[in-house]
Amino acid sequence: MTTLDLIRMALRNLWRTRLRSSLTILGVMIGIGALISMVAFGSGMEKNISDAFTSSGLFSRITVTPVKLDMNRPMESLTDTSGISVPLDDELLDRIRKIDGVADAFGEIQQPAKVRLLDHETTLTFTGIDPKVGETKAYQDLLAGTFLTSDTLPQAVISTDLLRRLKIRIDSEEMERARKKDTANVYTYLQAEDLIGDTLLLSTASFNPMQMMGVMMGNQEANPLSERVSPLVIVGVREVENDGPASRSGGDLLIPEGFAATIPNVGFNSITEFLRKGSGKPDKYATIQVTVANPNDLSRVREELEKMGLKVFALAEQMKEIRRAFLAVNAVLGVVGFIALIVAGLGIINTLLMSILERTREIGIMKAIGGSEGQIKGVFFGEAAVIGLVGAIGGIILGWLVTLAAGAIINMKIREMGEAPVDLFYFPWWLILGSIGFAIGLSLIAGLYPAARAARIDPVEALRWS
Amino acid sequence: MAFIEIDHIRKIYRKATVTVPAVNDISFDIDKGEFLAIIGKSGSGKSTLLNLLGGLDTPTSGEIRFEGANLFAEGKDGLVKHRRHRVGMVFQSFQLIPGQTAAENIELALAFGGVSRSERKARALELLAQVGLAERADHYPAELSGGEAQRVAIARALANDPAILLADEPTGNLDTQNGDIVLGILQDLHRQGRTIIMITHDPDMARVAQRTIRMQDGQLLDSQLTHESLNAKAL
Repeated sequence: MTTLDLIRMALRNLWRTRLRSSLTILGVMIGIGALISMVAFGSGMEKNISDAFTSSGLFSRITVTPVKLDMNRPMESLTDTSGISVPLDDELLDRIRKIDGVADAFGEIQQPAKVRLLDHETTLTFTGIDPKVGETKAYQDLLAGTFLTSDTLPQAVISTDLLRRLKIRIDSEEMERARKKDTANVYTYLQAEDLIGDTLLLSTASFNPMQMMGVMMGNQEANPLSERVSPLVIVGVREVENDGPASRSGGDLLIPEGFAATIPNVGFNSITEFLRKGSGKPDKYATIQVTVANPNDLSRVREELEKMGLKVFALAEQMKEIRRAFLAVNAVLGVVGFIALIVAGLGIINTLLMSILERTREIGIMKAIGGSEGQIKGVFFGEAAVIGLVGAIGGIILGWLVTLAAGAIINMKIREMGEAPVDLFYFPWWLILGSIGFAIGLSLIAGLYPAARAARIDPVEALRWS
Repeated sequence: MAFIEIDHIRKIYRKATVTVPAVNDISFDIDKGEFLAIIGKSGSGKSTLLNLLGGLDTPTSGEIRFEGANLFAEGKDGLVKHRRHRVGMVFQSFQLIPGQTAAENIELALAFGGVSRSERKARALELLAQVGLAERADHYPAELSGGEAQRVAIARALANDPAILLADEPTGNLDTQNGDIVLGILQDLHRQGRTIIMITHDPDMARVAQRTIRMQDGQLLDSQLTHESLNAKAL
């Protein structure tokens, strides 16, 4: 008797009791559907974050900062400047570029500012950046226009995230629907291309120490802080909808580094620099972004930078922690689905035991005409496996349909909120194959006891059964 | 050495404190190609003896030797091989699987016997033709008359070409006409050289056999009854 014979026999037997078989298979389908839709949700969240990091090149990037970015560090210790002796300037940039494995390094000047565009206003931290970084992977996300073309001209590359905060909507697909709902005319609606060539006003504050002295001397008219407004021509719009935590600081408005250096500031980029003033060379850059050629070199380059006395931060290494957290989330979601599958497994046991009871005489006949215990077991294992396989395939389809519906509903709400839709669920190949294998495995385990019981049936007793 | 040697075979059923000796120390031989009838009243132990001969049951003590080899020496595997290749069994209530057609019932026995899928269908049709039911191949047991069902059961018993056919009251559920047809088939099989061991409670049926033995209370009363002595003894 071949495996094909067993499968044919199993299908036939299940067909004979199709209502009961269908209900058992439905139980497995619900279990598998619950399991995979939950794990697909966890995987989807992980993938969204992972993809955002990968597409922005964050997996191959190390950020050098004046103070080590440590989320667990108490706030007061940020003022601890001990050990900070290397200023972030062009000299350091050259040294970093010479490290083996470093593809490129560029500094970022950052400063808080207020921006005004089309009568909308918001505050942000802008970034002065070398226009050459436009060639790197992290900035290949232009929706309209070009990247910065000059190091000295007053140009600006803005992000869609900034536009959202400025209440300017450019998503053409959703624009009409959003416009209809915007009865109070809060938003401005246009295409990204319309913004190219427009002027954005950048307001920065500068600090005059002499005026400060005047204040201290009792001069009522002295004002140590003065505002400067710089008009910038928008040359490009970047699509940065879900700005990750690493690019949040300054990615919304990029201006040429050379021009940024001409904008007066309050005199220091950070509290650390303020505290260090007078004790050494000032930082030219708020951060230095280091890109490694190969993500595998990341740890080594990071160590080299640390040896140079620099404070470094690599999100890729934080990603390990994030992955671990998602593993825990997936495990919890998986357990819920697993419980549903256990219930389905009990259903399989019940169905097979009922089947054995009804087919006791048949088992006796099979033994009388030469069926071995192994073959009898095989018949019931075959039935369990078919229940598992059909249930798993049905469960995957059911789970996929459920996630499709859930995704559509959630994205409808997200669109209403003016955000871009996201793929909430992700079905990796291991989840599909794993759930099929798992369902068959579980079904076979569920079939162990009934099959053993069927095989042990005394043929003489079974033939008398009615 | 006889073809089949039944040697001090004993089968005792124990239920709680009650002990029932269904077969109690029976010994006799069966020759190759013999048509043997076993007669006896209900509860005489004849079906238990047939089940032991068919390898469906194991004795409490004693041996049954086929061509000198003890049937029970090889354990379960040996009994499966015995049921699969050496004996074919026919029952009073036909014992066909209801969810399978006549041909499929035979094919199942062929599958257990290791016959390839491609050969099974042809062999099943051939066996059905042999019992005169070629046109009923695709009919389910419920669609067959008693006589037809029993002929299918005989065809199935012959699936793996066994040397011995064990028939337990094969005509018990049939009318006279169908009973005669079934007996005719058994006689034909005997003429072809098969050893037939048939259980019946009807002395008239036993007359088709070459030899008849009689059982009572698990023991052998007569092991050499002739047709004449069958007439003389009231059962």
